[in-house]
Amino acid sequence: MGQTILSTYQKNRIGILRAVPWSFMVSRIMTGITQIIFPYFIFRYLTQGNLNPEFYAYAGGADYMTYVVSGSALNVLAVATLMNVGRVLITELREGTLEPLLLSPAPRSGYFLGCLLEQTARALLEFGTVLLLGGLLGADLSRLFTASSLLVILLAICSFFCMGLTLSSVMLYTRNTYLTQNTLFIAMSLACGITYPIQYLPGWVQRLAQIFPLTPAVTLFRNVVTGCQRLSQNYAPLLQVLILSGIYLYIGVVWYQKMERKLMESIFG
Amino acid sequence: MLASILSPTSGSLTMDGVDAIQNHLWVKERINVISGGERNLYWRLTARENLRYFGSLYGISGPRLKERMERLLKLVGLEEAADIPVERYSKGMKQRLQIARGLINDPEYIFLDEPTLGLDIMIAKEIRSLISDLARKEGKGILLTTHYIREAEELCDYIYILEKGEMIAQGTSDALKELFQKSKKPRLIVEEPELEEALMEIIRQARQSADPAKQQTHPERGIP
Repeated sequence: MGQTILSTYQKNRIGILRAVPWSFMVSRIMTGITQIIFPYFIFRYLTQGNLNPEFYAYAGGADYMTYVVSGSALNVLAVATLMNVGRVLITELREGTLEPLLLSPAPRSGYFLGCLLEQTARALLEFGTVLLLGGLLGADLSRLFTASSLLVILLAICSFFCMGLTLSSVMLYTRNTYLTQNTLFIAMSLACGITYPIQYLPGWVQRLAQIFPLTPAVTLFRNVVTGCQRLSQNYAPLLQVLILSGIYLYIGVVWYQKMERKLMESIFG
Repeated sequence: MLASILSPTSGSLTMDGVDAIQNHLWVKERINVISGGERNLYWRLTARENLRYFGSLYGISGPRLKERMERLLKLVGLEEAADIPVERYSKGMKQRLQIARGLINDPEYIFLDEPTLGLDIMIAKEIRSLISDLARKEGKGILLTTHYIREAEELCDYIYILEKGEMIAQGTSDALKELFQKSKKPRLIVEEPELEEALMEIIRQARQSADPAKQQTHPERGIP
């Protein structure tokens, strides 16, 4: 398993660096910047820094920039993980390397974990850019580097990975990446409380948002980083993240293990 | 189905007496597939990186993997190009790397799916020679699919003929010819040199006259 993880990490890292040697770094950083700069402009120049009291109540007392930065940072991790883990198999299919991969006895979990490891290393660059710029624009992230917040980030990445496994099978089955992933990302960015509290949304949207691990993960992250709360004070969102991770992991892994050979029949048949 | 990628809807499949459907992981460790064409390789990686990755998927590592990689690169004549990304390879080089990839786990059985598809006659001849050595010198069981009848005649000990998914005939090359001859009246056949043989000889002579110094290795293993 360890060998598969490491070799997949190396293979993906070499491939991405040869494909886009410097532009990938720039694109990651630019994506992180745009995540923050637009909300900042809207807040500073459109609303003139004015927000109604409802916002502060819904945001748990956090100021707007801190609220947006913490949500955007986690959204960046979610999108990167879902996109890259979700697309691994269909990319292998399109490049013609899915067959030798499936032919090998290597554990699929090791392969996916190797992909996760490689893309997390890239995503952290974007994550860091969002936090750095956010800090420069006034977000209060003084409690970012605590054990609780780092644990929340790790838990969030795991939950996005679990959802990514399910997304991978969906993409492979539908043989579509663009429509599938972008529909998901738009839904998440609108409904999961990234740049505004979900309490502003209709009730049915708020309920729908609970199926995405990003929703409780963002709540947890904000409570720990900006609300100065401990993890033990956040059983509800913590439990929700764990349950959702378990569900998506079950669907993604167990279903995929049973369906892999039948999926290949629909592709190669 | 034979390569354990697809599940049969009915019937049984065994390999060396072992249920290949239930024990597909056991099967995967002992087989490999080599396809014609330019797929099944990571183009952004070099030959060495491709072999290292695929070797690791079979649980091979360390000095054992390194030794095997170097041996296979030498076998297929890619030592000098081993550190060049595959995207810069010619079709023949990619096919040779495919063969190396297909041998990385030292399989007992190899499935060859049109391995000489689209290759020029010199490289195709070289690859057929390699395939023959794998079967006759290394004792590997090989299942070859091809539309080139001469290839089947040259390489195969036993031939199955499929038409629209159904097996319509099987046997050795001589048995199939006899099957054909039984249904036909005897006739006089005048043999003349095969065009393929003639072209190969012409190309070989042209290369020798262009650079006699380079023609020192076995002519069938020379790198084009």
